[in-house]
Amino acid sequence: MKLSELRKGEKARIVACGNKLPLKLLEMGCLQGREIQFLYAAPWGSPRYYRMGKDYIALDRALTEHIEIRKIHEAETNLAARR
Amino acid sequence: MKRKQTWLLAGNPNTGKTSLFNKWTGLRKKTGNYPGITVRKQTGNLPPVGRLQITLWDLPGAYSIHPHSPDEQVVLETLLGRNGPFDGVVVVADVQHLRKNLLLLSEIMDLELPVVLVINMCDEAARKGIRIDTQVIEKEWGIPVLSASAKNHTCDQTANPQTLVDAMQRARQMKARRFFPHYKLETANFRQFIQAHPGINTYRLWLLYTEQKALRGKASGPEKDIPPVESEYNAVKHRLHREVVLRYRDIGRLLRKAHVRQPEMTGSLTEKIDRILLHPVLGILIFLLVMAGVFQAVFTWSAAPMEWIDRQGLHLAMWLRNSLPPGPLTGLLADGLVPGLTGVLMFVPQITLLFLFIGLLEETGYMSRIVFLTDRLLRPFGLSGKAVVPLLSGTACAVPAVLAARTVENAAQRLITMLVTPFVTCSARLPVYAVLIGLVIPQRSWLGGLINLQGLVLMGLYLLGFGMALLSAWILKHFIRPGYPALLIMEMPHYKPPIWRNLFHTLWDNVKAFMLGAGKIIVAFSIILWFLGTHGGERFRQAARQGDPALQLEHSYLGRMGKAIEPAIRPLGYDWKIGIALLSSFAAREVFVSTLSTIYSVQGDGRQSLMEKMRNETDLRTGRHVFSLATGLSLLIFYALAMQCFSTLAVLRQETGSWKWPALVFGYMTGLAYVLSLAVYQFLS
Repeated sequence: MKLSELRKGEKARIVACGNKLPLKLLEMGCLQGREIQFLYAAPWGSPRYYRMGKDYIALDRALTEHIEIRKIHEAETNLAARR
Repeated sequence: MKRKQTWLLAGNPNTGKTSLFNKWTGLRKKTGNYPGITVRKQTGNLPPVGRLQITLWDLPGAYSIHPHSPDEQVVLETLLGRNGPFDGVVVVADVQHLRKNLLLLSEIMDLELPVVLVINMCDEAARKGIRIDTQVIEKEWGIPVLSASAKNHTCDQTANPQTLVDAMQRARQMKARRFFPHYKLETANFRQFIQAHPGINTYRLWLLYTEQKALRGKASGPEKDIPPVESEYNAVKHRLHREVVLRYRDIGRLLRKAHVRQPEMTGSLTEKIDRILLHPVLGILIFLLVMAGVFQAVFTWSAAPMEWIDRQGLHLAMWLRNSLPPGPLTGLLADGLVPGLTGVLMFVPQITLLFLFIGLLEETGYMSRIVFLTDRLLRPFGLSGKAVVPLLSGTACAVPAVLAARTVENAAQRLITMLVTPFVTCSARLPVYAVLIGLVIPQRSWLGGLINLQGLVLMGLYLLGFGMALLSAWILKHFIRPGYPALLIMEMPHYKPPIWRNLFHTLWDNVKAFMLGAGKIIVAFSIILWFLGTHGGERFRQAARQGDPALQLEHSYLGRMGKAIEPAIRPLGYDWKIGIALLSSFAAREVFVSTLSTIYSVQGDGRQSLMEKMRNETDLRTGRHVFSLATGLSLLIFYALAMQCFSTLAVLRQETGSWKWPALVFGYMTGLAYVLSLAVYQFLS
């Protein structure tokens, strides 16, 4: 699924930051395996505010269409927390 | 003999790089511009250690050596040695964001330059329980590593300049690790390029090859015949992405070995604050409140010092007139130079306050939130969220507002922001509005005085200013294309209390830049205006002998210019006297009122106020009042839209580096003002 489909508060793992995306996004840490959480959206839906790894980042909504993710389900999160 | 070395200071934004620079160099620093562009260059000296004098050169913040903004382009060019020779690089990283911050370090190491890593915010690390083994990094990557803090803390190894200088000298002996040769990112063209330049660092060649577009037009080094990158565009783009991935892999390995233990970030204080400050309703309300508070403060707190400076200027001019022998030199000093200088200094309190608040917003991290909240709203107009501060600052004065546009990273968006800011109703327009509205708009109110016609007109003029700024931005968007992708990708820094030393440094830099840069031009122009207003031909001298200031003005060069432009402004409903006021207010709008009061000062018996005189002024040709509703509204529109501020033009020249843009702004705004005022007058009369 795409990052744009993630709902507020949900967490996911990045599967791929496509070649279409600006290099800057990768340099900011948009890398495979990194955890990402959708925190807030600005009024009118863009930009969006994410926690990516340990950083907070604001992204134009258009960019989130090109980021492939895999949602982390609650059960998985709890499991990780217990470990 | 003193030995000299120059070291660069590089690092990501928000790593506290500049705080360290200020701490290490104190006030022993210089601010200049990089040639041709407006990114500011800062250098400073470390306290001398033995015979070694080290100059530190603070580069703009950059996430990577591959540039995405004019700031980052400067970093690349400087690291490639195009802005002068240097001996090595100090890279600053934030201990809480080491992974991201080490990307730039690894790139710089690949250029085979002597490098020192300074891990900043060790006080935060101590507080949050982050531990890091700097010895491992030193051993694994082959570079000296120091921990530091801009606040005074026992963990700060750079408190003694000797330690830093020692590390720099050690870096020159050590052999830093290299990554790039192992990444195998060669393309066909690039391989040829390497073969043509044996003995030159391959990463340097890689940057020259992949960033040839960004570097084009700059004097090139010994490397010639860079093969075109276009034919391999997709392959290269893929490899650039791969380069980042591989670098992060190496950084990850290092950090695991160095046993970096970092606390979990979810639910941090920043996140909780942002829940309120970025709330769709509450967040916007808070933003509006903060802005209202800032402008209230800028207006009210600066009023008293501005008045004081104005008075001191008057006193000084009077004193000069009284104590020097009368003559052209005294006139130049007392009526040209001193008022001109006062005009410059009068803006200093406003500029200082505005920059203090902007600095506070930046330092605490709230500025990024303003950008976040307003980005979507401004995007259709070709602006980004970062244009909000310049546009709102413009309500005080366009001069600091244009300077405030420095925070806009994208060059095209920054240019558009600066060009449209002068439309915003500044404080200098207010006295003009006040006089004209009082003159031609009837005092009428509804709902028991809650809504007042004069107030509505004033608000309408403010809205007209903002509206024209946005409309013009939208027009400009089609002509000025962004060189770098303009979609928002922005780090949201953690909230933190401001470091006052940084604020003080920024304030001082900006105020000084204003006084020196714009000041020169303002003074020059006020001298020219003084000359034109106080000199003239035979009839001027005759009027002077009669001691008739109004007649004198009429026959001065300025007055003759007013007469000369009368045919052009007659269709707008203005006579030659208004013409003089118009001409003289091209130096500064507020001059309009003082010029009119000089012109009208002789008529009547001195008991009438300026307003009464203006109201009674009749046109000799038509026998009607000069300041009719049509003329008044036409003038209001003209003052709302015309470019009549030489200080703004001067600061635009300073910030864009050419007269081309201020000339465009002048022609466009004044042309627009003329056409719309003409339409208003012709429609109403």
